Amino acid sequence: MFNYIKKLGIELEGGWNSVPEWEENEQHIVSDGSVRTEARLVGELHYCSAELENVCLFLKECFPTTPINGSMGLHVHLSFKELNSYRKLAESSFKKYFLSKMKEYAKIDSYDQFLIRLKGENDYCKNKWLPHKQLYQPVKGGERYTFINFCYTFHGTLEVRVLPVFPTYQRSINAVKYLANVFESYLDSVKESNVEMFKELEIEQTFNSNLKSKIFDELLDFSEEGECA
Amino acid sequence: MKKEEVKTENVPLLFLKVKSVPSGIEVYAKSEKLEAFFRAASGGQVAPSSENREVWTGEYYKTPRTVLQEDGKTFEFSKVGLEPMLNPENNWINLSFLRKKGLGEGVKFTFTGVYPKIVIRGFLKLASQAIKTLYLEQIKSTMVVVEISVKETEVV
Repeated sequence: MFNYIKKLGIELEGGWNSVPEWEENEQHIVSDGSVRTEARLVGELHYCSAELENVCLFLKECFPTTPINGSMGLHVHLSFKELNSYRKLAESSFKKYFLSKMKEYAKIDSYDQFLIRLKGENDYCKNKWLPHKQLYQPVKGGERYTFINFCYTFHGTLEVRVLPVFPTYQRSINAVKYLANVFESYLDSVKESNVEMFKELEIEQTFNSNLKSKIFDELLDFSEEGECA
Repeated sequence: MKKEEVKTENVPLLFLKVKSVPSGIEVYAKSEKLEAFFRAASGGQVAPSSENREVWTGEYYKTPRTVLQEDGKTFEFSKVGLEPMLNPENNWINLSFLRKKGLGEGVKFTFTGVYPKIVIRGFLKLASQAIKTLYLEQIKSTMVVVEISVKETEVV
C-alpha cells in the first residue's frame, strides 16, 4: 500500500503471438506504431492498480513473448492521493532528484536500452522538463516525449517514459518497484512549500496642471456600444 | 503668462497576488482603476456568471466585446467563470476574473488544479503584460504603466 501514490498504471509495449491470459482479462493489445518486432500481435497492453503486487503479477503474466528490443517502452503512469503531489513533482527540485535516482538505477541494472534512454537518445523520451507545457494539454501532443510527461489534464496522471521494457519480467518488475519508491520517498521527504508571488502595477502620469485628473475622467466617460461578452 | 506646472505622479493600477494552496492556487486581485474601466465600458450592467461554468461565480461587468479587442492577443477577458490558464503553452491566459464586481475593493478566487512555480510566475508576467496592453490601447493618453514590484516568497 502506498502513502502518496493512488494508482500505478502500466503501458507494456511488445509483441505477443496470442493475447496473454490474465484473470482480469478483457485485456487487449492496443496498436502502437513505434514498436518494431515480428509477432502476430504488436503494440501495448494496459493495466492499472492501487496494489504494487498486482502490477508485478501483471508484468509477470503478460510479459511480451517475442524478444525484447529498444523499441519497447515500459511507460508507468502514476496518480496521487493529493492534488498537491503533482505540483511538488512538477517543480525543478524533483527533476534533479529523479535524474540522480535514475542514474543510480542504471548502476543497478545497466541494460543498454535503459542507458540509451537516460542519455536522451530515444526520440520518444527526451531529457526535457516541460511540465508547464504538458500539464494543461487536453489532447496528446508531441511534447509528451520526455522522461516525465505531466499529462494531468489529459489522463489525470504523471507518466514516466524513461524505462524500457527490460529483457526479463523480473528486471522489469524491479525497475517499476524502484520507480514507485523514488516517488514515495521524494514526497515523503519534501517539505510542504507554499509559494506566494505578487505583482503591483502603477501608472506613472506626467501631466501639467491643466490636464490634471483629465485622464480618468476620459476613462469614466468611456462608453462604446456593442455586443456584450 | 503663468508657466504650467509639470508633475509626475504614480497611481496604483493593479495588485495581483497568487498563492499556492493544496488544491491549486488562490488569486487575490485589487484594482479600482480596472473596475472603473469595466463598469464604465459596460454602462454599469452586471450579470451573474453561469453556475455551470464552474470555477468562479458572482456578478461580472457585461463589457462589450468591441472594447476588449482580443483578436490576435494572448489574453482574453470573455471566458467568464473559467480557469485562468487556458493554454500556457501558447501564453494564452484568461483574465475574465478581473471583470468581477468588487475588484476595486479586492476579490479572491480559488482555482483548483496543478500550478507549479514556473506557471505562477508565467501567469503573473502575462497578466501584467495584458493589463498594460489593455490600458494603453483603451485609454489614449500619455500615461506609462510601470511595474513597481515583483516579489516571490516561499512560505514553508
